Amino acid sequence: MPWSRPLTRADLDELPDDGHRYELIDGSVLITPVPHVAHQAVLGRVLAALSAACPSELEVLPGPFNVTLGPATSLQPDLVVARHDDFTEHDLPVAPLLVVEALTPHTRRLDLTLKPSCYAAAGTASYWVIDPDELTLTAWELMDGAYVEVAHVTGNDEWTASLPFPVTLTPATLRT
Amino acid sequence: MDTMTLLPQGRPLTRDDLDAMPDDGHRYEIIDGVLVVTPAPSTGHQDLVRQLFLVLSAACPDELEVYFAPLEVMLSEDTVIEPDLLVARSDEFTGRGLPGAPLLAVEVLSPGTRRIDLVVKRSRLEAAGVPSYWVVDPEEPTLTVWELVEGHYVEVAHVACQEEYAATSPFPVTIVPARLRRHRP
Repeated sequence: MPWSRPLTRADLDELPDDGHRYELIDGSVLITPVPHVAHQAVLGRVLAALSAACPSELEVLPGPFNVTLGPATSLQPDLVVARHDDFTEHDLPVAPLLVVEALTPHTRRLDLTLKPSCYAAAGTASYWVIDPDELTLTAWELMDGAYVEVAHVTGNDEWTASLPFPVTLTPATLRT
Repeated sequence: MDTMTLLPQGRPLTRDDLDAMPDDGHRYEIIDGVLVVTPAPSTGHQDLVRQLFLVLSAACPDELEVYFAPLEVMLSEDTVIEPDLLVARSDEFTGRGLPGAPLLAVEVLSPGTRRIDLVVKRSRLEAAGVPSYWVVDPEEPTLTVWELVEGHYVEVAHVACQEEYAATSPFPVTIVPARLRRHRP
């Protein structure tokens, strides 16, 4: 690490590809362990459901993928939906329309506190969290600059999102 | 960037991993197994930490101790933090730091740690049962105080500039945010 100064995207690019997730928040770095199979399995189901319903002008991408929210903030969401034209070859340099995070024991606190704080500040309209153990889906939408919970569904309950596009999800079907 | 290759492959980090971190001026902390690397604070930040340390030390009873960072606080096997200031019982410290929850943790905000201090640390300290959490924002300046009530932090004070906060926990002391900032000519 360069000597005691706020870090930048350029510093992140220098870090090794060692199986950790490196994220930059206001010049600080978060280094997160790689998630387990169950986490990725749930995300695979969500990715499939979103992809099937996604209109052509939008794109659903799985992480690790850099979402750059400022010179000193670069996050790697589990899943992201943004306008097709907004992606560059290396990153998404604007706020996404939707971010989905699946909780792990290590990222639970970050996913429920820090990440929504960053995405709300950046203007991401929808933020969803899936708990792979409890099989719940919680969705927040941006209202007057702050996230308001719009859905919390469990097990066989169905929820139909309206943003960023209509799609119906049932937590019980997300587990393999 | 050589230092980063010291990280173990794709597993949650523990306190022992922290010992392998370089002494490069960054603050290395582990929260729930996630490594959080923050830049060294500014002179102004440290100025304020010192002033608050002096105020707290002057009022601190014998059985308690006030420390400033870096001092490791081990909240669990996968959570080791270094609050800017902390108060704990004197007999609870070991040679390596504090192996449990302090009575008070204080963070002085800086642009790089504001969001981490206000959301992640607050949430983790609350979960660890730290009775009091104070955050000083050097901008105005302000002091915000949270205290644990039935397991949850409740904001019990928010004072700005010349306003006084008369703390009762962890011991009686009066804080005036404006007096924490030294005014250089």
